[in-house]
Amino acid sequence: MPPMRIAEKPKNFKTTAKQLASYVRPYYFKIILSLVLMVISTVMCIYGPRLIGDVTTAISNGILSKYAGGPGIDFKTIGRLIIIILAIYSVSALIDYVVNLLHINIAVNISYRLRDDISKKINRLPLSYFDNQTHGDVLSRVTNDVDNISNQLTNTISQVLNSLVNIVGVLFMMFSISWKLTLISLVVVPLSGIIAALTVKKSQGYFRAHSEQLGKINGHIEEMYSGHLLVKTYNYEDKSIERFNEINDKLFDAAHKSQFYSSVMMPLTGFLQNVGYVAVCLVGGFEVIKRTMNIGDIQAFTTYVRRLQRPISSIAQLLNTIQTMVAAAERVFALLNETEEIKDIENPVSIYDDNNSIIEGNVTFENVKFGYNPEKIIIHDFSMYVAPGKNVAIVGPTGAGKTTLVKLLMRFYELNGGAIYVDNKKINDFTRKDLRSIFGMVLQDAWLFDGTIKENIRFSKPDATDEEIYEACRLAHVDRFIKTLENGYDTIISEETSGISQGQKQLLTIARAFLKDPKILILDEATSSVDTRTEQLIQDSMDQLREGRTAFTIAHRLSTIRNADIIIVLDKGDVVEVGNHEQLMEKQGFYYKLYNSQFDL
Amino acid sequence: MKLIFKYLKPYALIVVAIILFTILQVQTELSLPEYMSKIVSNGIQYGGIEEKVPTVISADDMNDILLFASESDKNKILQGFELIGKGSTINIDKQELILDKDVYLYKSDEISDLLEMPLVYTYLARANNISLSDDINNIKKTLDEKLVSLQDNHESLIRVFIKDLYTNIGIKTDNIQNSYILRTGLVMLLIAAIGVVVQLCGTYLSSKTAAKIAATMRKDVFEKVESFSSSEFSKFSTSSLITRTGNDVTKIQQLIQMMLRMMLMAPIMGTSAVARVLRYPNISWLLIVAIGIMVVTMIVLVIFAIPKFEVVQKLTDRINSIMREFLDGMLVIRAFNSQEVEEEKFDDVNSEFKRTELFVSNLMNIIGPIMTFVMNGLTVAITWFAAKQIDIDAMTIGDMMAFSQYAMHVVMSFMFVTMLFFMIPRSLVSVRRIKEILDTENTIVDKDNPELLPEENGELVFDNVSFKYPGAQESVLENINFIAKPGQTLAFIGSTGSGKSTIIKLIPRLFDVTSGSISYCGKDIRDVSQKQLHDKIGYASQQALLFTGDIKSNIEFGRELSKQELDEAIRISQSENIILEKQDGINEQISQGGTNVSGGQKQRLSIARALAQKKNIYIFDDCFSALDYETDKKLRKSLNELIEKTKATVIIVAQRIATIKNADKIFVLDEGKIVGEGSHSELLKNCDVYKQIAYSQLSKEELA
Repeated sequence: MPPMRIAEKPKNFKTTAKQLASYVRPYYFKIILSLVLMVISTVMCIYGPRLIGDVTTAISNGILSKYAGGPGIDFKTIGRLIIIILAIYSVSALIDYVVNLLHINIAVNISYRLRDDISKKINRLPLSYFDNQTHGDVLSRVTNDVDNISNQLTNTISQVLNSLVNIVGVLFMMFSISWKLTLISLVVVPLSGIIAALTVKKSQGYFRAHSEQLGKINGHIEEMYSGHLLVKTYNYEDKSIERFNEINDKLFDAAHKSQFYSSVMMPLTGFLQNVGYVAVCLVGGFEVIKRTMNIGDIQAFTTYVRRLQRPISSIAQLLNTIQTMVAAAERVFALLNETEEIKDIENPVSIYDDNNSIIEGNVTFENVKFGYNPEKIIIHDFSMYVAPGKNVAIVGPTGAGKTTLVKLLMRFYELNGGAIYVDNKKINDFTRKDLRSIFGMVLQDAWLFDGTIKENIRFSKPDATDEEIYEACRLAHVDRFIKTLENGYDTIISEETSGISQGQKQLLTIARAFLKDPKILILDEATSSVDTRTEQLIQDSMDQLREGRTAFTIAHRLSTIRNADIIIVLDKGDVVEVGNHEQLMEKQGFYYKLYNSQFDL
Repeated sequence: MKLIFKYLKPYALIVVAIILFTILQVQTELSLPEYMSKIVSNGIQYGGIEEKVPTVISADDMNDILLFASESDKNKILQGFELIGKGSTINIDKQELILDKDVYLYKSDEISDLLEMPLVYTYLARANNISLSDDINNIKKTLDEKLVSLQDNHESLIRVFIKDLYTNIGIKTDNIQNSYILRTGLVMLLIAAIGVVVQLCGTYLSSKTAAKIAATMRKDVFEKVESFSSSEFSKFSTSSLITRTGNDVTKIQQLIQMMLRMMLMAPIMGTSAVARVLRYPNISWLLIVAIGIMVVTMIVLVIFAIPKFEVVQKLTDRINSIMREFLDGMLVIRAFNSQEVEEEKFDDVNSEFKRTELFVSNLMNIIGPIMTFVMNGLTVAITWFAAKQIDIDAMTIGDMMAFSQYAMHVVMSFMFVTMLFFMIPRSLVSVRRIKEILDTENTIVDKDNPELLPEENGELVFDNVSFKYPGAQESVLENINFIAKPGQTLAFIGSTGSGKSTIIKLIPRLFDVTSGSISYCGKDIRDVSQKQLHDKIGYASQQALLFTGDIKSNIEFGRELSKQELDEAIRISQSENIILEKQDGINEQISQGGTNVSGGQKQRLSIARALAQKKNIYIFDDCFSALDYETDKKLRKSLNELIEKTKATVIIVAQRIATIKNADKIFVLDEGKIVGEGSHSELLKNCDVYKQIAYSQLSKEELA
């Protein structure tokens, strides 16, 4: 099967190739060694047919001399030659093995390093980078693109070199046998090169059409199947099938044509090869009569002509592979070259005060200005002081940017103006690590990783004792539930784990926050998909968690909002009102409207 | 496999044609080495001389030759020839020749045996410079010793001699050789050309057939799946159905293409090549040795490698899932400062992946060099053992060259067959997965003579309905009873898993009830056609789905709508400002999966879709959740106006109390049972579950 893909063109070949080279650099010695070995093995292999030709000549001369009453075939000479040939072939097989070994080693190590670099890079990239990237895209760089690079990199280097050495070596051998025959067969070579190039070009068009239609049909299938309920209830089946047939017909056309054209090349170049063969035999036969050549030379020569074909037609394909590979590398490097987070300040302030006690937890926003895109500022000028232990609720309609403030507070994004202070120290004067260690966070979308429940909770405090973990779970009202599980705290959570509901997962993340025992809390309340009883539990534990801490709550519940010390009202990303419930109701502004819209029809 | 044959059946004739083309291709491909061998041995080595008896012999040479024939033979031989005098012109091998000596021209066929030994003796005598004036019997005796090693094959030797004899007369033997090579070469090229044509025909037919079968199969699968009810969907899962229709069919196309080319080719090529190889039984055992070595190496390696392949696959998945963890949990990981821990975790897997991959690759790496070595070694071995045969004139050099080519064909065929053995079982998995779909019986089908529903809206009645998902142990719904009258709004509320969405799916008959019955306008919904039933219902699903196309086509969704209907739907669903906001208005393209509209906008558009035609029943399955309170309120207001006018029945499922507060009747579901029904205020008084839900959303004073 020919690969069903089309070469993508890299945008900046040179720069990418250079960066790729930097990954290869540590293996220069190995690569040079492997290249030298490969040249040796190729040269040896190229010499093989010549020797076999000599054997043939020896046999031919032997048998002819025998008719002439001579001693016949000289098996001693032939035997010696054959042993030499076998030795050559076994040595070159051994060398091939070693070369492959080296290449695999290099490839596997490079892909290891690329993956390692990506994994580290991801943690150093600013969060804003991921606003414009789907996770699927990043993932495919780690797996598909890295695989592509590691598979092709050493392969192409060795193949290009192999082809070149082969072409040069074979041409040399051909010339050494007969320059006339070489010139004759060289007429054929560019012809088959042209055929190869033409068919590759022609089939590329169909391959592109094929993958396009394949994408379309898969898109249609996916849409219609995911929307099956609607297809049924809107009697849409006929329309859907009609559209499907349309694409399917086009797909069929592209599929069989791309398949056909991709298999045209081999027979055609094969035929040219045969033309070359006959031509060589004709002229060569003449040379044999004139005794300027031996019969074995012709046999060797025809073998060489055939051998010349392979590297030439594979180079056409190789160019494609190299393009695909460099395009993959480009995507990986685009990620690796992305600007990282601003470095932590050089002489950071400590989160401990002079008496060595940790921060008390007041927060000040001072003329904060921010936009995810600097041209589209959404928070224009926001100032506020939050005293330690106060409870702040952030409210607003969906999509108003409630999590933005929180993200700024933990310095996931850099401000476009103004400053945020924690305990009267600028947050940019702390190290990120110290700053974040002040906070505890519970998000609406409970994030747990593959691992046991215990590991997941210990995540917030790696040196926590088991007893501390149990205590945190008790506080989060999840201890009893965990104990009902068959493996208790050692239950493994993974994508397939059933029996743990979304709400229970959220309780686990609350336990995580309890374990950390932070000075400042960030909570995102759940909105839906949680059954009523669990919802009650979550609410209770969140209330408990808030006690005695400065808390920022992204609120969905009126009870939370009403009891908050400060309410920040957001709309379309901007802060529109700040105050407590009574103040805001009195104002009869946006909050008032928002609040009332929940009750009346 | 049966399935594939079933699909191949309509193409039986084409398959036969492909087989014929393949046989022809194999025959041409295999006869090429023969011609190559002829060119080398007959053409080059023996100067293009094919004949066993010289066509013409000079009188002097004839005299020498006849010395070695008995008296009786002499006369017979001479009778077979015609003497032509000096000066006349003869035509040999298209060459005009004016004779400068007397020659004998060959005319009868009967004497070739008689001439054989005299020719051999004369040649050997001349080659060994033995004077023929000595006693002829002594000469014979000396020559006989030399002859022993040649056994009984004198053909090649005679041809060498004939060339000498021709030269003596002045025939240009070079020309004979050239014309022979040219002639044979042209025949060879002709055959090669036929081979190319035949091969292209075969490829064309097979790729077309494979693609056609795949297209038909894809169509069959798609139509089948489209006819499925939701129970069949839940049996397979949507994502599995998608891969089956897409991926698996493509894999089968490749399988068929492979079957029609390689699987036909390998055995035909193998047996034909074996047949030719067997012409040289003395050295064909070499092949068995070579194939044996190859097959054993491959099997041993595969046995060692396959378990490790699985490990590699698992580790790849693991790398993926950790990476996903990184991305999904980025905020949390950074907030808890655990970047380093995560990096270590990744490194563990990454390192293990590296180790395993190294092991597997190094193992598989053995195959290449061994195969090359065996192939090369085979050529060398053939040369050695063939030389022994050539030495006793049992083979020619050309035969040897042809034999090595046949040998390569045989070995390659075996390699292919071995490969197929590993590849086919994998492809068969796809075939089985397709078969499962095609074999699935649709559980929800129309009756043969469905009853007709009246034009106007009527009562929708759930009579003691229970429902269990196919294959499930426990019922999702138990004994559900209610009546929805025209113009009424009914609401269902309850926690996740309480069965509220399931009730709604029973109305358009997406599932059939397990017991009890649902009737509409007095008719059991199983007695009317699904098409007619669906025509009465406007449905907005829980998951607001938008399809590729523009906003307009998404609201129309296959129906012809008047401008008025369209505008009305947009107005009621509060979608006007979505359209105003977009650059192309109602013709704004929706990207796949609807990524360029927000969750709330999606819901509003999917509600517009449900409202876009006059329906008797509107169903809204929890599709108000992403709307802000303000929009929710406005939407419900204009919806109420519509119902006033049309007397349609509205059924709403919701999570938010505010959304359903004003419904005519609210049903509270818990674990598949109705645990409360009534108006908002009634339920607040007498239904505990409702109260709990309400309190979690609103504080007490606000509810009062």
